[in-house]
Amino acid sequence: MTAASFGLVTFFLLMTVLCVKPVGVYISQVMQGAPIWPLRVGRRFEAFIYRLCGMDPTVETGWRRYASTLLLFNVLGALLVYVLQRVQAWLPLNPQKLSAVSPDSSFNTAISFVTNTNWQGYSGESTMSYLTQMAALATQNFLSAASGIVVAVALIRALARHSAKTIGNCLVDITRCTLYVLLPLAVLLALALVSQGVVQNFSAYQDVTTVETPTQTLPMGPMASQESIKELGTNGGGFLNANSAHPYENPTAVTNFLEMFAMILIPAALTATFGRMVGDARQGWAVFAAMTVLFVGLVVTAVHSEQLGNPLVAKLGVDQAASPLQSGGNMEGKETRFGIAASALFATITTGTSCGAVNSMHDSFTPLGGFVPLFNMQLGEVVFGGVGTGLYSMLIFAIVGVFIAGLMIGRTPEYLGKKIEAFEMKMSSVAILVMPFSVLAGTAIAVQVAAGQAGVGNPGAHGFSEILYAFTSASNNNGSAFAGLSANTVFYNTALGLVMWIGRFWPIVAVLAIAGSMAAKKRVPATSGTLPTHGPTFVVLLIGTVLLVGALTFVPALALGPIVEHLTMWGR
Amino acid sequence: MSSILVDAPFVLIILALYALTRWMLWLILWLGAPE
Repeated sequence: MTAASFGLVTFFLLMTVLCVKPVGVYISQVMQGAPIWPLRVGRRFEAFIYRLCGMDPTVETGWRRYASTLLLFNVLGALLVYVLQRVQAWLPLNPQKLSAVSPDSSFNTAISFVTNTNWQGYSGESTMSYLTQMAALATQNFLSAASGIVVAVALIRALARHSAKTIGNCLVDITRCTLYVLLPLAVLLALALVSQGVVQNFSAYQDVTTVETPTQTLPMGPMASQESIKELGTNGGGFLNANSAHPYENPTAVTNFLEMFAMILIPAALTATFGRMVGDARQGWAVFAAMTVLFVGLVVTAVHSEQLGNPLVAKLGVDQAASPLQSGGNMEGKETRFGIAASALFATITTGTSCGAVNSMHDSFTPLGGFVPLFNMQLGEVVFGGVGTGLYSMLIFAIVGVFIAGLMIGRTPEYLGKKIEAFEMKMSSVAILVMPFSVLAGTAIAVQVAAGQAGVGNPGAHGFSEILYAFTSASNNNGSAFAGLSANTVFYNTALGLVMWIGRFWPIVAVLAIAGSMAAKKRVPATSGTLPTHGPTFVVLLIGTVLLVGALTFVPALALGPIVEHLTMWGR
Repeated sequence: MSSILVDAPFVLIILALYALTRWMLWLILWLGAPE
């Protein structure tokens, strides 16, 4: 690790730590409807939305109604995104006269954006009209992010309450989260990106004369507005096919830092929201500490592996040493303006936070460097995880952790004064096991059938990694692609669409069921036998639980992909 | 007519995924969730 890499990672972590508390406290105030000035300013508009929908914002519901509303809200969103893509040729804001998107790609994209995955089998600039990009995709970037956050908030409320039958009002939570958290932050970030040169217009694509080719077509469009929520909402779907590697989406080192920071901001801040809402800030810091320890380990592995370079390229006499004139290391598939550290750090953040935006091609990483994004997702995306999904997934691991600790010392497990019983463990198992099941079953089917094998660009261990990465990314609602896999086929569009929905909403239903159960429980006073969940012992327990579940589930599959590839590369 | 035929399977899959997830709610109730 070079001094520059160390400096970048340290500065990034410092900025994150500094912003966790203020942003987390603000989110808790918004979600609790505290009388702060943004809510007072937006009160009339918020009331207008509720009147328009014919709903009473003061009425809270139980977990079943909360889950039903969330599901209905999202399935209607999926149908709308599907229809908009299919009829875009007849709608305005289509200066390139792009035709309707194919049915299978429309299906995949509709599920992809509603589930916060943003897996893209298509190329944005040659497929989607400006209207589709804004009204379908960017809109879902806000709403799917809000859907994730409200589930986490509902679970926090359930842990904070006792003997309660309700966990909140789903549509009020989504409205407040969108209006007062996501929209203001997205506007601020979009303006910052525009100031750095990110494109934001409705012009037709421009033909320009270049030195190398007679003419080149430059894509235009409302990119900055989509770019900002793409990162803040941990969505990841780029306006352009090259995503954040493209200079129109991510032109400078400053935009690269802002985009990385935007990805981690809300997931990290939600730990402080958690601490604040349960009335003990230390609980939030403990979860934050566990996430940070895992994050640092993964970042160091990725940066070190990429900086080490490729021994096969070194044998050809290529200079891979870092110097004032070059980043050194494995620069295949990376932008020279970002170099090793900013690419490896971006890759670790984007896969840890469920974002999926890319500023380098993960397919070109060294085997161990590529292992990090893959394993990051396979841990269940809890480092720091997607907006909302990261926190509620980590809280599920916390419940499993205290259950294991309870078994070891022979006491009834408790978390935040609530007894963990059989029902919570059944639901935690469902929430944790849905993802590995859909990843491993999907990969197994794809490597067996001809339609699945046909998409592989590099046969052998690397080809297996490409398929495993695709199903891991889709099931975890990450959306980043390993590249090398031709996924815009009926088989992959349909199969990945199915696992995206299952990977998103089945765990959400289980988490909301846990919320319903926890809200109804009475709080038990802490005794000398209660495991403190705000200290270092708990942090170690939590990290161990995450690593054990992730490692035990995926090591056999990883051994067939990146691990065997690493041994093959360095053993020659 | 042809558009309906090509779109119907994918719309039905979306609705089926929704129905299956709603069914999970009932399954969880059966497993002992509070009302």
